[in-house]
Order: sequence, then structure tokens, then C-alpha cells
Amino acid sequence: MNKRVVVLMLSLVLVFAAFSVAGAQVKNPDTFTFVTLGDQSTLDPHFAYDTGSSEVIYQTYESLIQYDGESVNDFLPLLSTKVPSAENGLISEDGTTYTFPIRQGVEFSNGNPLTPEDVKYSIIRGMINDRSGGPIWMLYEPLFGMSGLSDLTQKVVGVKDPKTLTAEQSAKVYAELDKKITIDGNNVTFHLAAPYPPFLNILAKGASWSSILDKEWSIAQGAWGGSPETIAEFHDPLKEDDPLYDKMMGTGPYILTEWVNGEHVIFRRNDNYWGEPAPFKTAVIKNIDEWSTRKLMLLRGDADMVFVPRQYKSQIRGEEGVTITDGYPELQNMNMVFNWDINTKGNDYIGSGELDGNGIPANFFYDLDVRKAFSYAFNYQAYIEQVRMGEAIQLRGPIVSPLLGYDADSEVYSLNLEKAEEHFKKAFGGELWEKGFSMTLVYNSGNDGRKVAADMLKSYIEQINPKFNIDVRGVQWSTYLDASVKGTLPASFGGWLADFPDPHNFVQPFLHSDGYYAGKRGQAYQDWAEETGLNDMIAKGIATQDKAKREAIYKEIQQISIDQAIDLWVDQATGSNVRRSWVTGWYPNSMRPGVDFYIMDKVAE
Amino acid sequence: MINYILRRLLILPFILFGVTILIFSMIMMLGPYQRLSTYIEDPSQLKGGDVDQLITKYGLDDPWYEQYGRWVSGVLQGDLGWSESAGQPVTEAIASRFPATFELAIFAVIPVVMGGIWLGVLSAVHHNDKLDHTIRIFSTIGWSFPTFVFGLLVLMVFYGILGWFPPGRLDNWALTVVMSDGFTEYTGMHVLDGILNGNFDIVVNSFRHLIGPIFTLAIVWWSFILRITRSSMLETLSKDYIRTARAKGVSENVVINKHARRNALIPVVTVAGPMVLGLLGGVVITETVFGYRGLGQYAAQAAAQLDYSGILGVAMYFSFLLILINLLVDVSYAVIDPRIRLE
Amino acid sequence: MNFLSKEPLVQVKGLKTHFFTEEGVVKAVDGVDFEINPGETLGVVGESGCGKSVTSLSIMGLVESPPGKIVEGEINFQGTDLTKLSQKEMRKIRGNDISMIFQEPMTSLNPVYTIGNQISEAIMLHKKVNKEEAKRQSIEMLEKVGIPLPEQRVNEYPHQLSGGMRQRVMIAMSLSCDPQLLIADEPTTALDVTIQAQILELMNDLKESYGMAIMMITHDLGVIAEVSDRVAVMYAGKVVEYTDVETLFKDPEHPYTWGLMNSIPKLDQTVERLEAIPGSVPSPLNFPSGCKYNNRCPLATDKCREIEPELETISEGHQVRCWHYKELERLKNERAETAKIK
Repeated sequence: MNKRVVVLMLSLVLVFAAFSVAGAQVKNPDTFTFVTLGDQSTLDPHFAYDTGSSEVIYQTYESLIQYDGESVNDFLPLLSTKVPSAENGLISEDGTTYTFPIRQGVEFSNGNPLTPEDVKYSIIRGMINDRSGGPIWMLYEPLFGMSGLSDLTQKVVGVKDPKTLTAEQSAKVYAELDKKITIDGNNVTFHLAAPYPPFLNILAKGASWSSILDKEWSIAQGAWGGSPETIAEFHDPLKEDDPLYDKMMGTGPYILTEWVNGEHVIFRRNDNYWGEPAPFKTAVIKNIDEWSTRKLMLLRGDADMVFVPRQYKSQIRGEEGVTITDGYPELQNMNMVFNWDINTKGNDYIGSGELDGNGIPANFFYDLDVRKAFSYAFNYQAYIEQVRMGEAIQLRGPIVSPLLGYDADSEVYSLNLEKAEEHFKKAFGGELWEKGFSMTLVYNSGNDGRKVAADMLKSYIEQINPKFNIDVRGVQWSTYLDASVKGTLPASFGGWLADFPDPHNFVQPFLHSDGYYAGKRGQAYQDWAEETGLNDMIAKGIATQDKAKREAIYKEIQQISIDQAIDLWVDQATGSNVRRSWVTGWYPNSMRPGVDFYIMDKVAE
Repeated sequence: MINYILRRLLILPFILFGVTILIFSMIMMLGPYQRLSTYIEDPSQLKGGDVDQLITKYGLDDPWYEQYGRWVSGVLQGDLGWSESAGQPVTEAIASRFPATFELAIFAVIPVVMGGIWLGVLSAVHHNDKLDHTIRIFSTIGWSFPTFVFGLLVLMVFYGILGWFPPGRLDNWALTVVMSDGFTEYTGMHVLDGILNGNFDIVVNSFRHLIGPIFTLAIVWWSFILRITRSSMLETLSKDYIRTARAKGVSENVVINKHARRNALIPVVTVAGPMVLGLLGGVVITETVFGYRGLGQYAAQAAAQLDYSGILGVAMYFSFLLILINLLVDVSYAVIDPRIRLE
Repeated sequence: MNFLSKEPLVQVKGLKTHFFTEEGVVKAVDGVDFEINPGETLGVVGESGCGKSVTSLSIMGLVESPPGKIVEGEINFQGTDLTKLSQKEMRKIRGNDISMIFQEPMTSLNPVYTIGNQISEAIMLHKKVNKEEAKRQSIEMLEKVGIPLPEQRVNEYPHQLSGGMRQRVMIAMSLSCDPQLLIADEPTTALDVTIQAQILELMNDLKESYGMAIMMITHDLGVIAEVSDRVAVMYAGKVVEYTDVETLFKDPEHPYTWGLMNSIPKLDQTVERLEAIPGSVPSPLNFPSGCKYNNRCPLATDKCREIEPELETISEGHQVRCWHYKELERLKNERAETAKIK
């Protein structure tokens, strides 16, 4: 090679070397970058029901109260100056009114002052918006004891679809909404339909739907104008037609600079913030789906915090400059839902559809012994080791640790093939054991955890009786959803991330006849829950104010879910956080939707 | 020739119509609940409401011609619909990602095509000696590497270890500058915009981010062009008119670069066309590895999530590109070879 | 142009050009000797594979190397041994002092450049003229070779011309720099008979006006008869007979030449069947020992199978490579008798 080429290459190397960064000093001290996968759905607090969106809303909007550090039961004031309690009298004795004194001197980032009107407007606008599949049912339940606007319109004017309300009907409905939130001077008072112990959780920061909007600004963007007659127009819009879909105006420590869906969200410090200024001038949420790329960014310090899928954590454990915190409880669970009443029409997964050894009948899982047998045929510990890398605890029913009603010593199932066999022999009066069965367990492809669970059941159950046959099949998400909605899946996988940290948020969807999962178990279950009084217990649980009494109720509910093997209760995964060691101030809180750019700082090590 | 070009362009609407009907009918073969999955990523999103309500809301139950009709009438007004997977209107989703893909394609074409041709000629001229063998070994290695593996390798070495070529399109500070009022995004292509705004730092920074993906694409695709060029050159060099040129006393350099190369290019153009098409259509794996937000990623995402307006929008874009590129290829033939005259 | 000089223009002495392939050494040219005088046409005749093309390529320095190589011999051109020149020096001669035209006019011109471009290229390469002047000269050349409307044709592409026209263009291109020697390798083989005659006539006319020598390579004895002054007959890489054209036809002394003569019809003879020479040309990888013609020669003896004959001068200006050429007379007489009887 001639000299010129060598010189050229050397100079290139030097030039590029100038680009590299060495050392462990804090990189970009002014900016915090969090890199994760996924994307954001919407910036409208009343529309958002996914963590991606909620995480963004969390940085710029505020609620009346907030959680105190790591606790999910204790609160600190935020936009309210006091946290209502029985002691300070801001919660009425019968538990149906909550009063919040609103903080003075707070401004939205556009300079508008925060007033009690903004608070009332925000809640009512949310309840009018009430998009289908959205979070607003959590406002309706405490305030009205209903599940949504259509229940209210049905009750008040006999109209099922709020989009068809006339101006007159709308006004009548509005009148009911209006009554629920009253303003007296600087105080805003909520009037509940019945005592609702988790009400404060529903209004705490982290619950996006409790964010306080700027009334003037929202109206200027095209949101509901405050008029009683226009409910129909502003109810349940399409996401893209929602005026607050891609804009934010909050009181929080950060302001949105730019949102490019699926790529990044950039915030800048709100220099006008009413509290302590935010630690970073710029904060960024970056979406990069490829794990290896995220890992490299963390190691190079271009990312201060990254999302690490459980199975890859070993790759960065022990790396220099990286801190991992894990093993703390997350309010989430995973289970396998038995379909007690399978829809046999056009059903590919139940073989012959009869108890003849070549299929399963619609009521296969209605039989308690079948459910118990399955529950004994699952290797909970192995599952936790393999799929969760040991970072989970076995589920003891729908209620997760450390919520009320959770008892770490309660009885649960464990792998026991003898007992499984015993129950299989009893099932269907012995007929099942003789004839055998054949069914398909379905999971949505890409979800390896579910696949492992299904494979596990297959391998253990088929061992017990050669006439037992389980196929495991992975299908596209769209097919899975379709089957799930139609009720043709003999068993489906469920998982719940708490909306608010109260056992009611778990028992209702999992066990109540009107709950989401009851729908997955079919009409037979729904009747059973009603007949056996389970529904009543759940209703009582939420209405009881006394903590000790509530605990007793929920413990009982939890035990019933095990004794009756309502579902196969798998596990509760713990959380983990991976960040650069120069990041200080981080702590876990399972009600926080994601990163919190306000509590952290970057300090050289 | 103008007539020829115009005639080719006139077919475009028919092709677009055909392609979209085909895709649409395939999507319609799925039931409404399956198509609902676009809007629902997780069953827990159904917790609050009624599935059938959602079906009605999104019009998933309407007869197919109604749904297609809605889409078409939107298109005729310039509205390609809403892309659920991107969370933006389809036109915006495509337009916002196009500059990135285009920039990458343009920059990649240079080493891939020019480099491939140059090395192919070199290889042919030195055929079967050491230089040729070396080039061919490297080209086989490059070609055998899956883009995914190579891309990660490039990222690990040049970013992880050396810190030279970071993922994404710009560093945070550069992004701030580009978004600020003092900077006008004329094209969305950061290198070009940097030049137009006279901001050298932006040019450098965006170029740094481009090198990783370009390098990855180049290593894999360059050998593709090289092999065609090499074999075409070898064939051309054995032609009689090459002998004539030499017999005239023409120097070997001129024989290769003037007499042989132009003739050898025709099969290369044939092959380069679809390759450029692929680059312009978006290169999903490279984009994913380098966190480079382009059309490849979008197309894959839209397909995976059954985002039918997104899929249709991308299909239209791609069909349009296909026609354009094929046209360019045909015109190139005519330019290179006077025996080919377009009627 | 050197009419007066008695010095030969080209002297080929003992030329050996071998190809070193994987299957073995191919001795394509294995001892060729001849001379071309200024203004003279030397015909080189032989069957395909006899080495006549390789001889011409050797003179031009266009042998593909590897695998070919001139291993021995001299090619003296105007006092310089061409085998000793570098490629750079050879390029000055090619197209300039020595030009060559080839068999396939259809493919010998570059399809993507105009005719004018290709002729001008040769002109600008060897003469110090600019583009306009070169183009003017190109048009002049086209006219000289008999192409109508040369100002139009000069801007056309080869595919727009017929085979005959293209060969004329090739001739124009090769003569554009006034060479002393034109090597024509089967220039008319690929053309129609009528066009063939035109081209040959053209070449003869130009030879007169330019005063150049021509080396006409062909397998066609008719062409040889028409244009040659002297003829070299080649077989298996060697010259086997070398004499003037009349003597060759009237009195061939080599059995191979005689065999060739018998295989073409002649106006003044009536024969029942044309005689083909039995057997076929041996593979250059597998030459027989001794005289290369021995397996097909009616006069072959053991001596022929063992020892290769040298090129011997049997009379003035007539050389033959054969042990038994004297016996040939006897064979010829026998034939003549039989012919007369019929």
C-alpha cells in the first residue's frame, strides 16, 4: 500500500477518534433519555388507557393528589392543598363526599391560572367524552355506581346511545353530571353515589384520567365547550378526531416539545412551574424496538435508562456503570382463564365438541374437578423460573400482593400429578377418565410466556392419561382476538395491570358477572357468580368503609377463587429498572405508568 | 420518447386500483373482530367497553364495497385515511418517513452501485488473479451475511465500542436544533437541510448517523452489483469490437472504460433497478437495527397490525415507485444502447 | 510507401506462439516463416485451426497473454523486431503502421458509438488533429470506401448499416491512418458472394492508391486466387508451402496443397467426384510425431512418421516442407491420365 493511503487512513482514524467519548463522567448532564419499546397512542388524558400514552401524560399534567414516594396507599397533596381524610373532615362521615381545596398561584404552561372551574370541567369533560374501551368507567363507578355514560343516559332519558341525545335530553343528563361536582369558593367537592374506599387512588397522579385540564385552552382546541346541550357531539370520538389527541396543556414540571409517534417524545423544563423546577432542561422518551440497539445506547451512556426485557437482563448485569433494581412487586398478574361455557359454533379448538374422547363439550370447564385437575397439573415454580427468570411469586387468586385481602400464607395449588389424576377420575362422574378428551390450547404467537404455560399443561396432562390429548397452537393476534371475542377459546390467557391499587380493581374484572373476564367464561359462569353470591360479596367489598371488614371480605373472595379453581392462577411478576449509575433519586411505584423525569437527577459517580 | 413515457405513466392509476382492490379484498377476508385487532393491542384495552360498540364505531361491519368506497373517495380527495399503527393520517405517516428513506437510499446507492460497478470492472479486468479473488471473497462474505447480523455487528463495533456511528437519525442536541425556529426543514433530509441552512454541525451529525445503515446496506448489496458487473464485463471483453478497438491501438484503459463498460452496463441496469426500488421502498431490518425511522419499518408495522389504510397507502406508494423505476430503467437502456429505441 | 526498396516490409522468422492451458500446451503456431514485400498481397491459406489467425494476431501483438505467448521467433517490421516491443510501443504501430480487419463485420464495431466516433478515434489516436478535422477525415474515408451520403452515415450507428457496409466502414477505419500493412483475417467469409466481390475489388483498388501491402488470411482458395501475389499454405501451425500464386495453382508441390486443389471444382476439369482429403486436422494437443500431415498423406512413409521435414527451397521463390514432394509429380500424372480418359 502506498504511503498516501496509509496517511489518509490514519487521519480518518484520528478524526473519528475525536467523536468517541471516553470515561464515566456524566454524559449530557442537562438531558435525560429514556429508551423503551412501543409507542404512544394519544395525549388526551381522557382517552389514554395504555402505559405508553399515560407515561407521556404523567410528565406534563397533574392531578389533585399524588402518591407519597413508593407507597400506593399514602398520598401527598398536589394541585389540592390537602389530602382529604376522615381525620381532617374533608371526607364526610358516610364516605360519600370528598372535598379538595385547590392550590392558588398555579399556572398552566400557557400562563392561565388554575381555578376550581378547571377541575370541574376536566372531570365532566372526561365523563362526556367516555370513549368506548376507555378509562372513564373509573369515574362513573364511584360517582354514579354505573359503568359509563350510556348507563346514565339510559337511566335519565331512556336513551342507550348518547350520540343520539337531543339538546333537551342532553341538558337533562348534564344536570345529573353537574350535581356530582360542586364548587364552593376555592373548594371542589365530589359527591359519590356510595362509599368507595379507593376513590382517592382514582384521583391520584398516575391515573391519567384524573389530570386537570385548562378549560379555556381545551375549549379553544375544540373540546367540549361547557354547554349542557352538546353531549352528543362530544361523546366517544374517534381517536384521530379527538381535539386533544396530539396536544397538551398542563400544570406539570415539563412541557411537551415534540411528539413523533413511535419515535420519540421530547419535553422541556417548564420554567414557570409552581413547584421546584425540574432537574433536566430536556427529557426524552425514545422508542427503539431492537433490544441490542437499546443495550448499546445504555452502555455508551446515550441512554440514561432503558427498558430491558426480562430474558436479557443477564446481558447487562454486572456491566460497569449500570445499576439494576429488581424484585419489587408490580400490581400485575397473569392467569389462564377457563371458559366454563364454550361457544361451540364453528369452533376449531374443541374437536368433536362432545365428551367422546375426540373433543371437549361446551361445559368442559364447568366441572369443578376438571378445573382442579388442571390447577394441579401446572408446575408453578418451573414456570416462574423459566419464563420470569425467578422474578415472580405464585398467584394466590386475583388479588396481588400487597393489596388488601392478599394473604401470603393462604392455600394454593402446586404441581401434584396424583391429585390431578384423582380429580380427573372424578370429573363428569368418571366418564372423562374413561373416554379421554382432545382440545387445543391457543396462544397468540410471539407471546412465549403463554406458549410455555400451554406446553407445560400439555406435557403434564398427557402423562396422566394417554387418552388425554392437548394441542398447543400459536395464532396471529387478530385471530386470537377474534376467537376471544366470540368465546370459542376453551381457555385464554389473562393478565391485569392495576388501574388503581385496590383489591376491587382485581376482583371485579376477574370475578364479577359483569367483569371483563366473566365474559370470557361464558354465561354459565356469570349465572354461577350471581347464584353463589360472589357478586354480592364483591359489591359489599367496595361499599364497606371499614378496613378490617374489607380485608376479611377480600380474603374470603380470594380463597373462593382458589377453592373453586375459577381460573388457573399463575403468577405475579416483579418489576425491574435498569439505569446508568449516575442516575440518582429513582424509586419504584407500581402506580406510576413509566418513567418519572421529575424525581431523578444525574450525578457523577 | 415522450410519448412512450406518457403512455407508461397513464397505466399507473389502473395498477394502483388493481393493487389496492387486491389487498383490500384480502383484508376483508378476515372477520370484523380480527380486523378490530388493529385498534386493540391488548385485550385489557377492552376492559371498559363493548366489543360490538367498537365494531360499529369503526365501521368494520359495513359491506366491503362501502368500506372500499369510503377509502377510495377519501383518496380522491387526497386523504389516504387514518393509520392506526402510526397514530397519524396515512399521508403524513408516509410523508414524514419518506425523506429518511430517500436520504438513506440516495446515499446508499453511491457505494452500492458506483462501488459495485467499479469493483466489478476491476474484478473482470483482473479476472482470476489475486485482486479478483480477493474482491470475490469479500463479496461472497458480504452477500452471505444476513443484514440483521451484519447490522448488529456494525452497531456493536462502530457504536458500542468506538462510538462513531450512533443509531437514530440525529443526536438529541441536533434534534433540538433542527426543530427550533432558526432551522427550516426544507426537505426533511437532514444532510441536505443542513447544507441549505448553512449549518455544518447538522450535516456532520446526520451524516454520522447515516454511515452505519449505509455501510450495512452497502456490504450486503454491493456484491450483488459487483457480480453482475463482473460477468457482464467479462462477456463484453470477449466481444469482437473490443478486439477491433485494441487493433486500432487504443490503450487498455480506454478499451475498458470507454468501449467495454458502457456495453456491460445493460444487465447491471436491469438488476440495479429492482435494487434501488427496494432501497426506496424502505429497508425494514436495517431501519430496525439502527432505530432509523423509515418506510420499511412503517410497512412492516402496518402489516403486522393489520392497519389496512396504512397497508394500502404503502402499497400505493410502492406501486407508484415500481412504475417509475421500471420506466427509468427502460429509459436508461435507451440512453445507453442506441439499438434500443422506445416507440 | 516504399515501392523502390527491395527490403521486405515484414519478415516472419521461425515464429512460435504457444498457449499454455490446463489441458496442456497448444502449439498453435509452431515455426512459421514468410515475407511480405511492400505493395504486395500475401495470401495465407489453410483450414481452420491451422494457426493462420494466431499468426496475424502475433504480428499485431494481440495474442491473449495469458495463456498465449510468443515463445520463439522474430517478426521484423521495417527493421524492428515487433516481438521485442512493449505494449505501449505496439499501440503506436497498431492502427497506424499495421492495421487489421476481421471476419465478423456485424460484431466488429462497437454498437453504442457512432461510426464517425469510432473512425475519428483511430485518427485522433495516431495523428495530431482535433475533433472537427478528424470527423472531416472520417467522412473522406467513408467516401473512399464507397459509402454513399457519408456526411449522414458518419453520425449513424453500426446497427443501421448492412454487413457489407459495415465491412467497408472497418476498411475505412483501418486505412484512416495510412498503414503500410493491412492484415485482413477472413474479411469476406461472412458476406454474400456478390458483396464479397465488391469488397475484394475495393481492397485491391485501395491497395493501389495507398501502395500498401496486404496479408489476406482465408480458407477460400478462390479469394487467394483473386487477390494474392504470393501465397503461404499453413498446416498444423507451420507453413508447408510458400510460392507465388500461379505456381501454387498450376504446380503445387506439397501433398496437402495438392489435396486442397483437388477438393475444389475447376472449370477446365471434369471429375466425377470432388476429392476430400481423408481424415481430419489433428488436435493441437495431440499432434502426431514427425510430419504433421502424415496421417492423411498418400505419400507418407515411416520417415514421415518419425522426422519432421524442414522448409526447403526447391526452386526460386518456392519452398516446400515435405520429404517426398518429388513423388507428387508421379501422382499428379496418374491423376491427369485418369481425368483425360474420362
